[in-house]
Amino acid sequence: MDKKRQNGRAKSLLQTIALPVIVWAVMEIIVRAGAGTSVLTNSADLKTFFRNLISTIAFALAISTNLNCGRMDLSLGSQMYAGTIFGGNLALAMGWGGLGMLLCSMVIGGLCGLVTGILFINMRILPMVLGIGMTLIFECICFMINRQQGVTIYGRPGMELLSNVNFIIFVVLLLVLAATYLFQFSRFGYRYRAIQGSQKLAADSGINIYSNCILCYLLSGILVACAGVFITAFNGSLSPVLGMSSNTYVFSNMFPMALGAWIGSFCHNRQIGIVMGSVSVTLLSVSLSKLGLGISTQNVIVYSLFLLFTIYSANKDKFSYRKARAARAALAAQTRAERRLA
Amino acid sequence: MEQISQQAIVKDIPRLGLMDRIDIMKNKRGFPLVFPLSMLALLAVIFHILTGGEFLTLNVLKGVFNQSLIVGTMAIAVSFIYTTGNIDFSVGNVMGLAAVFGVMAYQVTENMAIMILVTFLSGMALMMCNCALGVIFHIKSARVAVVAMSVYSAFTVFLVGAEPLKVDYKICKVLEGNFRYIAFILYFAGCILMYHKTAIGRKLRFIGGNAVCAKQTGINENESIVTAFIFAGIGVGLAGVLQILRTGSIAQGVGTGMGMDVMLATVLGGMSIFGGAKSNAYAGFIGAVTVTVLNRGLLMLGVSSTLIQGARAIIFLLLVFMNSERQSTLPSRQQF
Amino acid sequence: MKAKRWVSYILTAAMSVSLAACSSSGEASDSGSTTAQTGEAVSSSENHETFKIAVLELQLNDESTNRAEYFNDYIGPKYNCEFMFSEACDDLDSAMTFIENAASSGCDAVINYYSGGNTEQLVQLCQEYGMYYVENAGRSDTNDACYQAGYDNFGGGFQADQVDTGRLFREYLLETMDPSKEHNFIIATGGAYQGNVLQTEISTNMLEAIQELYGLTYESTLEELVTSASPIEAVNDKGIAIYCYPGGSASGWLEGISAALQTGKYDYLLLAPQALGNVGTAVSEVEEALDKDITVIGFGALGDALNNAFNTTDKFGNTTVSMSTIKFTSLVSAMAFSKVYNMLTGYSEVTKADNGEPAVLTFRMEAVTSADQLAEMSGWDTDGKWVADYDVVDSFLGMYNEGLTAEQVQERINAVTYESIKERLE
Repeated sequence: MDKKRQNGRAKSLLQTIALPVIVWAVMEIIVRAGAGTSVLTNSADLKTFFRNLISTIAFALAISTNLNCGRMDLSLGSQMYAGTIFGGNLALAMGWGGLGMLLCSMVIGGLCGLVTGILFINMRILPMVLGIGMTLIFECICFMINRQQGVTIYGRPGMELLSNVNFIIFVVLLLVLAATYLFQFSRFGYRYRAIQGSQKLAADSGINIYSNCILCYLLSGILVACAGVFITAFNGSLSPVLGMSSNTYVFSNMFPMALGAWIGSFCHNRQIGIVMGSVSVTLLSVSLSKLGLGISTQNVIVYSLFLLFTIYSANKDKFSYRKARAARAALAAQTRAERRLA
Repeated sequence: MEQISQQAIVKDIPRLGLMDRIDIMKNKRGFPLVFPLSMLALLAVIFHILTGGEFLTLNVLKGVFNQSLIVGTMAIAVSFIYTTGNIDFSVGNVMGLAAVFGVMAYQVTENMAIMILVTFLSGMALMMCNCALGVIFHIKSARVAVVAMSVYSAFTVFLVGAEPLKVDYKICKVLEGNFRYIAFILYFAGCILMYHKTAIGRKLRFIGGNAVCAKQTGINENESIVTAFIFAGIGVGLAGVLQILRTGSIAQGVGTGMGMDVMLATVLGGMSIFGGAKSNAYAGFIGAVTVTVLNRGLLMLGVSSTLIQGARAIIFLLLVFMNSERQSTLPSRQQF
Repeated sequence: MKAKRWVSYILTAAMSVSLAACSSSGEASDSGSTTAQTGEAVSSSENHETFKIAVLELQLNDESTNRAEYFNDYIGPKYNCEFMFSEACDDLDSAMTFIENAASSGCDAVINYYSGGNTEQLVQLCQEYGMYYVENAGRSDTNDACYQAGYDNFGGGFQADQVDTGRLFREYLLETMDPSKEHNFIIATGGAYQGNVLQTEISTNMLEAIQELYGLTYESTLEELVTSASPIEAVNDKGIAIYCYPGGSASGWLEGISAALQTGKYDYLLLAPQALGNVGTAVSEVEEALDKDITVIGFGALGDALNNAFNTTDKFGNTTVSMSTIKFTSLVSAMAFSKVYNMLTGYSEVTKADNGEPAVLTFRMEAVTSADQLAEMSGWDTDGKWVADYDVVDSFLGMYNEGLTAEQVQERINAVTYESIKERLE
């Protein structure tokens, strides 16, 4: 029994890490053949990889927090801008350095999420519609502060911490541990999963769906602000945008989020799944950059893969069904053959 | 004794509060049409007063109508898709790519009729691609839209290049006059008839309201969704033609972000993006006109262009809130 | 339940108030339409007729903010003009929509900073509404017909002096590097592939400067290299590696630049888009990883990003950015304003060349090569230290200069040099 369980765990572990390993192996071959170099060659590569990774993980976790309960929050991109621009400028003004900027941004991002959540449970308009409205509002507010300059952190004291690989890994671990605890082991997570199953049943059984929803919005606000800080760390600055352009971040992080949900089903932990999904997508993006492809070409490749994955995940039951049917047919043929021999 | 019982009866009659009365009004059949139209009229009157009588003039109203045509046409088109409970916000990019194909056809043939035909057919074909992914591979339409937005936009960049693709602007100006009005009115009238007076519209609303129930009554969901996408494709193709005629050239950014504008207009016009029985074909156009009125009115009042976005959002949220039905639990649906 | 509903009303109202508060606090930087200032500023107005001018912006950034301040707070009060600014118009449809709305709002003229590839449509639209039109673009094949068509309302264009900008890059490269040694270049061409006029000009200037330095011949045309939507090697007969990388702000662009630098082949990064504040981290990380000095040259604007770039050093002790060309927003704005104002006040001939066609005015960029030089320019082109002050603007206007010609205006623009500004502002 124990051996069976051990085998099951080993299989689950292999399935969890399989995709990132496959992506890395395939891209390593392609990059070596196409550009004559490796996917990750030096410290600059590692820094770029980890910074992109943490922002992808944080964003994908944030999207999935509400999406799992049937709420698509389109305002996450603008919350990222608001959290990072307000938090960044506050930390710069106070001289709090990189850690201070991260914390300030997360607090302000959380506040943005909180406002959105409170409005949602009170207005009860569709989450996507509220998201559009809030996107326009947050973008507008970001544009009106600091003379439309956003936040510039390059060359400012203490900000190099945000590019320190050890610090980034520490923050990734902290995020994943906190998210795993919150969603898997806490009372909030227990209620969250009940609501995910059926909001009506959860409400009837006494769960406060409203406070849970507000907490989800709060969490996603905190997470996107964290993503925004690391995006800004690489770009040196973050300039505000208008016209719902901030939505780009939401759409571009749908792929790692979807991959994460799929991988998470193997290890029964969506958060670990999202980490693995993000590692895979980040490796892919870094490799495509190494190949010197234009942004449009990269987009076509990444989104085509997203489409293929979506086709697979939407039809995997049919594949399993066909496989099982083929197995049954083979067994029947084998039985008939054995009978004939007998 | 009789007096006492009468008093008891009087006491038992529930006293309706303002919000209850509003809820009753919201459930009236004509409300989805009357409310957005009233709000539109109210906004126009407010702007007219605030601008010192400059807003409700023929020129301004004509301008508002013209500016609303492209987004309005696409909003009418997507209402067929939204009704079934599906979402497609890639329509802007579809329109852009269709227009690119149309202009490229013009540059080869120098024939406006062929350009219009190619734009129409491309719009329909691209929308059918989106549809096929949903119907054949059972992918949620919102996910298809996310992919389609990026892929179509990348193709537009490849095909257009640095300089915009141009059409003879003089011919565009000639055609822009009556052609666009006739084409739009025909499409609008056709959609209203098809949507509200035929079994096609009823089936779409039924599927959006309760897909399982619709299936059990013998409605073929896939067939209806294909029909919805065909009508949407026609509208998106028409919007592509209108876009070419309006600008006389197509650049790389054409249609980018317009999918969200269309969604905003549709919702502002009083339609739910979850679809269902209360959906209609005209909401999108009313919404598109409302957005244009808001933009133009606020600009005429001297509101900063940056602030206009925020003001538009607040008015949008307020109108949607007033127009929506309050649910007992939180609204949610797995659309991705 | 009802209470909650009211709470949501109150929350929405609170949000409106916060937006309004934000707008009032940021009034100085507000890019909206404002009426002419009252008080002291108005007293300097010389009873000019009131005009309303629409400004069509391609992007909303620090430059557009600076421009709005100059127009609203400085030009508006003196010349009795009211300005209306657009949202970022990234396509022709939104540009046309803004012009139509501007006409409804009573605007008399349009200054267009949106891409210049659609002159015909915009000139005709303005003509339909009785508005004058000028644009931030030069004369090219795409708009040549408009210059010849004799539109009454078209005042021509204004743009950077391409030859002079090329000279700035060439001179700097000659000063700092040895052409006998092999150097390799990445040129970030920005939005040139999308038709961005300024970035096309700067990228072309950079390629031409390298061409001249090494006496090389490219296998492709400059246009093909600059407007390519995908990264492209500028293959040449001298074997110098030159890599043109398009884009500028999209996600993935910086990763692409970083990956190209990590090949270790390139030691010069030349930037056409305003990205000096963005590449610092990527460049310094590659320098550390490869122990290789990379020189960054680019186009920038006076502001925080440029200050940071000149005040931070890499591991070799060099400033993050070695040289940047800059333009003075107020000077460019004054050129545009003078064109429309001359037409509005009946001095249209000032906007015409000798042959009677609309003239194109050009401005010269300045090169900044050190933090000290930048410090000298600290505060320039901000309130109270405008590079194009009233004297400069007046010198461009027909109403103050009898018999003024476009050629003379151009000479006066050319006279606004770094030295002359320094002398005047100090």
